[in-house]
Amino acid sequence: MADTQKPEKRGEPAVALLLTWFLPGAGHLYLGRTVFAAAAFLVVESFFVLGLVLTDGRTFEFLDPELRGPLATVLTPEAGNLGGLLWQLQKHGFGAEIPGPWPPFMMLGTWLCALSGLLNVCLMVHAHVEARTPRGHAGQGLSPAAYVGLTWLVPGLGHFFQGRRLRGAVVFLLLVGFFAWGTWLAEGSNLSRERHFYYWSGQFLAGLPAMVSEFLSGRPRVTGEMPLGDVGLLFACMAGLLNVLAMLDVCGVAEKRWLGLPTEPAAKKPEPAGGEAGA
Amino acid sequence: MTQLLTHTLLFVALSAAIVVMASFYSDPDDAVAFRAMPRRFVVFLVSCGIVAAIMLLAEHLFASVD
Repeated sequence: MADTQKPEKRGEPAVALLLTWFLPGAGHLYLGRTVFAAAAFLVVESFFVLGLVLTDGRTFEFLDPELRGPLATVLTPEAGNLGGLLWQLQKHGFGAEIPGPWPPFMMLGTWLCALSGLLNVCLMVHAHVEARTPRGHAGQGLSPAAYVGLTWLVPGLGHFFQGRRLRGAVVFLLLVGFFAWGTWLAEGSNLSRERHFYYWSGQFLAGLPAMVSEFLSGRPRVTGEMPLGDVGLLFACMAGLLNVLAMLDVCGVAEKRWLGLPTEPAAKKPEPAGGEAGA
Repeated sequence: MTQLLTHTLLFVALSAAIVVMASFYSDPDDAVAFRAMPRRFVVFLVSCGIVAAIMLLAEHLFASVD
């Protein structure tokens, strides 16, 4: 008789995910991974606190006054670390009433805060998959969270590490190409969170290419008319947003491999030859 | 006229990127994903064309300042 009993899960995936969202490591603590939870908390919150110190908590001062409101920060990478974001809003709000010069390491600080959110998203994926992994089951290959992180870092890199090299190459050329094209059309004006707060959040999802470009460009000044500046801004932002689809793609395949599920749909059984059918 | 053509071509280029990524997301098999792209691309462009036509019509009927 076939064994129909489902293997025991380690916990509720949604609970693990939500706990991690509010507090990095909390989901892993719920799953009994105490050491991992402590390490995860330390890493994510170190990024966040260091970023907060370097920016004096003034990241959201970039927002125009008319855009400031309770939901204004939802579409930022920092929202991945919800507990940190709420704490920042509670403590610093949208910055000082009177504008002043930015701290010397403002750009680095905003990157670190944004990175803490993105790292926590990877942790949320990790906690969700861990919760669904049956007890005693050793996952195969890298964790899906690692593939998501690699794909964020360089679009296509996660596919490459999964052995899907053609797809990885297409994703890389397409997304990095669009980011570069957009940056060229916008004459580098897109590479500033202060100037384009929400578009920056989108292009940050293109990972290293966006960060390196911003670092090297030194946020160039706008000195003349840019006929296709808006299109460039859109292209660079879309490159980041489309990288989310790439992350979901690698995550789906990695999850199946990790859990030992078939990655391809089951092939149709060949129909039996007429004479031998119904034997 | 040149500006309209330029923007249309840029839109078609971005549409191609959206369709390629959506196709990859929908199907983990490369061969199936590549095969589905031309049809998806046409459907995407036609759908966008319909939305644009409806928006232009609505603007002409309800928001025109002429």
